[in-house]
Parts: sequence; C-alpha cells; structure tokens
Amino acid sequence: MDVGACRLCLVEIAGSNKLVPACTTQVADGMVVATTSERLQRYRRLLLELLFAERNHVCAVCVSNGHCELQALATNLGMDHVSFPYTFPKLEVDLTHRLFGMDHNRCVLCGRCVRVCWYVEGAATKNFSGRGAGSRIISDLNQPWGESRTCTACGKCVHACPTGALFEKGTTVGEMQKDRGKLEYIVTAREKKQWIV
Amino acid sequence: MDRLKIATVWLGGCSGCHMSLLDLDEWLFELAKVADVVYGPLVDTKEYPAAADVCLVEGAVANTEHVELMHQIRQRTRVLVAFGDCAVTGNVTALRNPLGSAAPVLERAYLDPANLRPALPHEPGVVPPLLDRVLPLQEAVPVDFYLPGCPPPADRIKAFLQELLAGKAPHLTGANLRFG
Amino acid sequence: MSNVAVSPPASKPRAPLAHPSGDKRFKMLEVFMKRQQQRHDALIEVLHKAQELFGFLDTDLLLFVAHGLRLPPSRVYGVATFYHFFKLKPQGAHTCVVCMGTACYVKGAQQVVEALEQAAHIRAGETTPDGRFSLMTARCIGACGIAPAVVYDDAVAARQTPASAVERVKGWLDHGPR
Repeated sequence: MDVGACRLCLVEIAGSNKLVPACTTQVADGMVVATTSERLQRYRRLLLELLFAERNHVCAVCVSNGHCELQALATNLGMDHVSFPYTFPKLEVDLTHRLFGMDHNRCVLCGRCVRVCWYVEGAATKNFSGRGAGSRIISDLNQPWGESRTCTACGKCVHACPTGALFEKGTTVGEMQKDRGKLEYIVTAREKKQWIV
Repeated sequence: MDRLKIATVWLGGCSGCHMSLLDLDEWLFELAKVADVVYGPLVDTKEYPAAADVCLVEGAVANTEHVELMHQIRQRTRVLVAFGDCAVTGNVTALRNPLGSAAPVLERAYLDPANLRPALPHEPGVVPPLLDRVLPLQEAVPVDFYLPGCPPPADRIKAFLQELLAGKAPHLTGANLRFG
Repeated sequence: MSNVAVSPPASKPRAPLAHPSGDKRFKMLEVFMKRQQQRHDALIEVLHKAQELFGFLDTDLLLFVAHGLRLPPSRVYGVATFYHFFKLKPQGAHTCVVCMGTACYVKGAQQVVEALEQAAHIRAGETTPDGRFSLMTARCIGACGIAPAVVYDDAVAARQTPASAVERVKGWLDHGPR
C-alpha cells in the first residue's frame, strides 16, 4: 500500500537526480533503480537521526529493547549517535486500556496502527490528529484509549507497531515481542482465501 | 613506544559502563601491558593529567561541574570517547528533560517526600547545581568516537579499544552497534 | 419450518440524529448534513457549518457530525485538528493569528508571538481568562510578500513587529474600546 510516512525507503532512479520514496513510486518498464548507495545511506541515516531526535526513544528502558524495528534500523544504517539536538518533548503515556498501553514518547508516526485498525480490523478507532510536530495518534475523539467505544481490543495495532509505542500491559524491558506474522496470516486469509499456519 | 595514557570519567550515569569495563577481566592485563589508567573512578588521581591520549566518558552532562570538567578534559585529551548510552544520547539521565527544568526533579526528590524541614540542597562551591537540560556529551564538547550500549558489553569495549590501540579509527558495526 | 414468530434480526438502531439538548442549532446542522446527502466527502463543509453555528467544535458536536455522516469519530477528529481554521476550544471576542510560515518566521514572526504572549499573559493557542482575546498561530496564510503577517480579527496586517503587534491589540487587552 502506498503510504509515504517516513521516506526511509528512498531510492535512486537512473536518469533522475531526485530521490523518490519506493513506497509511493510506480515501477515502469526499463526503470533502473538503486536501493543502496553511499548517498542513499547518508540520507537514510539523517532521516533516522531526525526520528530519534523528535521524541524520547530510550532503548535501555523500553519494552521493545532488542525487538524494535527503529533500534534495528540504527544498527543497520551504522548510526552511532544523533547529530541533531534532541527535542525532548513532554508526551503522554495512555494506560487506560484494559490490555494495552500507548507511549507517545516512542511513536514514530508511521501510521501502521491506524492502517491496520481501519483496513484489517475495520474498527477505525485510531487516527492521526493535528499536523507536523504536533501530530499524535488518537483513539476516537482523542479520548483515553480505555474509553473508546469503537476499539475491539483485538491487539492488531500493538503487533503492527514497529517500536515500543504500543505494547501489551505487564511487559517490561525487552519483553514485548511483536508478531507481525499474525497480521500477515489474517490478510492472506481474507484476500487469497489461504490459511497459512 | 610510549605507553598509552587512558583516562575514564564518570558523569551523570549509573557506573554500569565502568562495571562493564571491569568485565574485560583477563584482557585488562593485556591492556595494562600497553596502557596506563591515569585518571578516573578506578584510580586515585585527583587532578586530570595535563595530557591524556584517550578518555572514556561515562554518563551525560547533568550539572555545572560536569560542564567545567569536560571543557578541561577536552583540552587535555587527544581522543574523546562517548562511552555508553548516557554519554551518547542522554539516555536515562536525560529522562527528566521533558519536565523542562531541574526544579521539578529537585522538588520531587527533596521537598515532596520530606517530612522534617524540607529544603533544596544549596551549598555553593560544594554541591554543583543541576543543569536545566541534561546534555549528551556531544552537545557539550566535540566528541571523537561513540561507543553506545547500556552498558556496552565488555566484548564491544574490547573490540573498540583494540582498534584504537592498533592506531585505527574504531568503527562499530552489526551487533557491536546497538543502543540499549 | 417452525411457525414460531421470529422477530427480525436485532439490528442496532441507528444513532438518532436529533440532539437531546434540544438546541435548535443541532437541527440546523442536521438539515445541512441531509442536504449534503450525508456524504462522507462533505465532512469539511459540515465542519465549516458546525463552526459557523457554534463558534467552535467541542467533542459533543464532533460526535454529532460523526453520527450524522456515519464516519468514525477518529476521522472527524483528525480532519478537525488538521486544519487550523477549525477551533476545538471557545475563541475570545477578538482573535489574533500570527502567521508562522517560513517567510514570516524568517522575518521574525517568533518574536511577534513572544511579544504578544507577554502582553496578554497567555501562550499561543490560548484565550485570556476574560474571554476577550485569543492568540493563535498558523502555518502560512499565503501572504508571504508582506511577511511577517498577522491577522487581527479578519483584517490582515503587513510587516508586523513586536511593538506594532502589541500596540494593535492593546485595546483588546485593556478592556478599552475596539
């Protein structure tokens, strides 16, 4: 699905000086695409550093430590520090839901929770509010998650989330392992009528 | 060949990185063959030497004493290393930064729980005032190399120091480059 | 087949559109939504109408719109907060919108905001306790040629300085004549 949330999938297309996000660019006949180059890696690292600087990502005390896609990206792209000043915003942690928690400090606004909630579960509980640096993931009318009338407590958003922003209550440092396979299972079953266990 | 002068310093951190350094165990003997530890919590020197080759800095810059010390250390040190996540990112030490200033932290620690004459510590020249914003090391002084981890495992420290001792610029990759 | 009378499947009753408060404005909004055939893509027009009727969009009103257009509440809230025009809190009798677009920002809009914040003793996005004055910011109002631009009530003013801005709103803060 075309998303265009983070630009970490930037690629080079031969004959064009512009870097384009792979996720929103249509392939064309004869297109020559470079997915890794010194320049791309440099830009990706820059974007990644901005993601880290934007909120409060503290791997050492995170439920997803060791199982985090953001942390893994830092390793893969050779990010050994962040060269921008951290913004240290003051953000909420919503623990009102019976089963799950949402820590906005760890959210990268990728929107996977929103998309899985709308298009896989169909509940449309989650969405983005605001814009730019003020963007937040909300439930219903920006009410505490636990008071949402639409949430089915299915937990798909938790497993779609790449970081420790969405987690199961009761997990502590490094214990939250996401199972994206479950989401793939459901979607494959629905779209291809294949139940691949 | 001159013996390498290695210093370590403990700023706003839990000393876990220094513990991890001690986890080098028998490799410390190898290190001792080529290097001296000239300053830090593991030795008794009170003054930072006039010239050191390498300084491993554990912890984030959290108070005015840290700032002054780091300026002195930067001037007197050839290779400055941000040692562990607190120095590299601020990490746990910087968890207070979103509160906006040092005041809420001091109040929580010294006023809220006190039931007998609550007071904030105020000893000019003795107790260094907290900075309103905890700084990762590179926001206070220029840093040459970064050694992340909370704490960096001993193997990672060894890999890093071995490259440094071989006169190369340490370059951590893969499992050796991980925050947390 | 049994001859026992089977009641039709219990379908969830559609949320009634009429608002329990009896406030006539809800009725007007309902008529407006019906005139749009309750189309999903009429959301922005409906929010405009709602704000025109009520002055601002509170949670209750947003929920009414969500029911009316049969949209998820999260969609209605997301759209309402995306556009600066929509207000989720009551506005003061007078409003001042400082443009924080790139051109205005470069030309010193931040200093203008700070001066106004100090003069009114509120932060940007807030309304004075007496309800007379709201200070807002916007991302580019499309008047880059006259940067930094400020909108006082509905009038756009060019090339504002901290001093000129404070002077302009003084009357609104001192409870003086407009």
